[in-house]
Amino acid sequence: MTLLTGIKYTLDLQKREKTKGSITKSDYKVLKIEGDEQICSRLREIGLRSGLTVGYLGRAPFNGPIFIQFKNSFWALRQNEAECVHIHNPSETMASSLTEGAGR
Amino acid sequence: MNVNSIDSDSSAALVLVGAPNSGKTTLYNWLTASHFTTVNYPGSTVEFNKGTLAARFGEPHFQIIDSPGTYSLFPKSEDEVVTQKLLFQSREKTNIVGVVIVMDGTQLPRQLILAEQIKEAGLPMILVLTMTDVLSKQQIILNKNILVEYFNCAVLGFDGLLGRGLDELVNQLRSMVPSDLSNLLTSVPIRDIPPSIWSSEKMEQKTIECEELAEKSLRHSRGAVDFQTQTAKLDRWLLHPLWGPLLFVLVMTLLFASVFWLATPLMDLIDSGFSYIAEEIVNLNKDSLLAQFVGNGLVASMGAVLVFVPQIFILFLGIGLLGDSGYLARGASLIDRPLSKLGLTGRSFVPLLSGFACAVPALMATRNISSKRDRWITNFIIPLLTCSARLPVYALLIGFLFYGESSLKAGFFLAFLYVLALLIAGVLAGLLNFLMPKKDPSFLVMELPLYRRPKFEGVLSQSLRRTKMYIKRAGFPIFTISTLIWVSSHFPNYQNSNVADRINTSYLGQAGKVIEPVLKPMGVDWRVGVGLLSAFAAREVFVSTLAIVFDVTADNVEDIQDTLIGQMKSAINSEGKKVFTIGSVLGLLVFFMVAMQCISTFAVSMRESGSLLFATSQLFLFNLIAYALAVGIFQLTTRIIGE
Repeated sequence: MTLLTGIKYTLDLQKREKTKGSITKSDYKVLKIEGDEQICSRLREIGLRSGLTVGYLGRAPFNGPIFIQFKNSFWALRQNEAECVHIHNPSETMASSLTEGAGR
Repeated sequence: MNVNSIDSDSSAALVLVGAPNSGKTTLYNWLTASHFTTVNYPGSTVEFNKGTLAARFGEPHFQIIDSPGTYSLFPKSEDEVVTQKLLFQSREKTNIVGVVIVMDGTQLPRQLILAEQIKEAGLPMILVLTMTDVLSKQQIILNKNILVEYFNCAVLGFDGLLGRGLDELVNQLRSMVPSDLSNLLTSVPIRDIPPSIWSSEKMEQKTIECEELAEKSLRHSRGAVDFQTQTAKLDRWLLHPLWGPLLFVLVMTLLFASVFWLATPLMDLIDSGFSYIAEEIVNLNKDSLLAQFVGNGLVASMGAVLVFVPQIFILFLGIGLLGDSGYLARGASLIDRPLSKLGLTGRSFVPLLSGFACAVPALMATRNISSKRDRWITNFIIPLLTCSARLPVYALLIGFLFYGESSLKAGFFLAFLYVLALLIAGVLAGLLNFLMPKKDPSFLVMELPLYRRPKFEGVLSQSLRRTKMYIKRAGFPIFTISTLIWVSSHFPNYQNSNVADRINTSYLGQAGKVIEPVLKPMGVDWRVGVGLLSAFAAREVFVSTLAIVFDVTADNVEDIQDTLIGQMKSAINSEGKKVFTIGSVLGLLVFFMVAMQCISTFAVSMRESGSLLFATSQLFLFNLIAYALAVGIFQLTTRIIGE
């Protein structure tokens, strides 16, 4: 699953559950960077790598760039760029973070 | 700033290398006291800055080169190619003896990757960590020793706001420069080959190592100010799918409104000040040609150059403050999608915005657009944006159209002209995007800096520098041609006391008459032709030239405009028809909107694109379209509403 589909999935889920606010922060765990070589290479240069946790901040209108956060820095990625970031299924990570939260 | 050849200086040089936004240029300005020349890399349009260590640091001096920002040694943009070439292919020519890696201390993990690559390449280096003020605010303590040990080089902190750590840094830099320059090339190991590109596995491995290294060298303490959370909270509103774009429109409207409101009184002041001086000089000796030349020629044209300075300065200041606060990058990404439909990118946004002040700095601001094609299209349409030099012309012609009517109507019409110009630029960009083959991919991947209070002093001095650059680049041609216009409108019959007669027989009048047949379809006569010719110095010269050819003299600026409009209302051509009708004035407005008349823009466009063909095709295309539109509008209006 790519970061983009992951975000759409979570947003849909939140809408269905009528969670308030569309920019509820959600986290995704990067599985791998794969796709267009140039884009991937640039994404790796800014420090994206597998295993990293990426936070979603919001997106620009008209299918514009999405805004993410990782390792203290904030970035805007076009949708085709976000397609190169493959993530673990958000439902799994969400479940694990839920149990983590319960344990605290 | 002069453009020198690359091997102009034989002394040793250190090159600053770092990612975009790393604070590299701030450090560079501290080191060189902002005295530097801009150097064109041979065979490329991208420039780098080269300067000498500021005199206040004492002897010995050495050169410092500010390389374009780069994320890695594996280049993807024109800027990055230049940095790579500087480091590897032309070290002998530039006498580079060492690399100063500049890193944003708050973004250490990913910035260490570049240091790792340069270390692997075997270049002599030191590390400089910037934003130490932010680090200390966040109560993060840097343990330099870990980095010193790992990279086996000196590591220094630097606070760009106050210049803290500068002296220590200069001493360290000095120790990198060999005392005997004659054996420069043997004393420093030379590698002409850039490191081979890292595989994706190696890149990931190194990224993890750099993260661990950063983790070890930075010690966080609990309960400190968390800039990241603050930024994330603000972004919840500023990047909201609905409020984000609305706020963006609001911010831009405020920016432009303040440019007009704040600048107008200053512009009036400059204008009336220069008119006053000119008048006083002429009054010294009314019969003296010299007094007239100095007063109405030199001083008046100086005024024509300086009258835009407030507007340009305020727009630069606004852009600078927004940029420094971290908002501009977000605004740019918010409109990346609409812009990408036109073959532009979010990175085109700031240059386009600057284009509303002046095309010259706007063209230079496109250098960090990574895709060549995006940069090409952005540069192509910049001259179409409504720069401030068009305003006096618009003011005069709109004043004519809405004479005696409410200023609100005129204001709306002016806003309409701005939007129309944007539309024309957009259509042209879309057309180019459609026609040009898509070769290399276009990126966004844009960093959104943490929000912070803008450093007013820094922004102020940067805006002043850019404004000075405008005066230097645009001032000279405006000044020269204004003077030329004055001289050619007074000779050969300078003794003729009948002014209209004198201008009629002057060199300028003769030139106007030569081009009159071309202007007839636009509905105007040779006097307007003279104005249009003079507008090639700078558009605003059109107004002062019209004032000269219609012989308008008045005590103050508003009177000049009113008297000129009065003269325009009654002006008739050789066939006894009115020169200025609704049709011809509308035509002139559109002509000025589209035409590329500014010599400085042409020169800078040629330099930035590295192509005479590029600038020439802009010149011909825009002027032809402008002419065709003006003729069309005049003919159509005349048929519909009569003369």
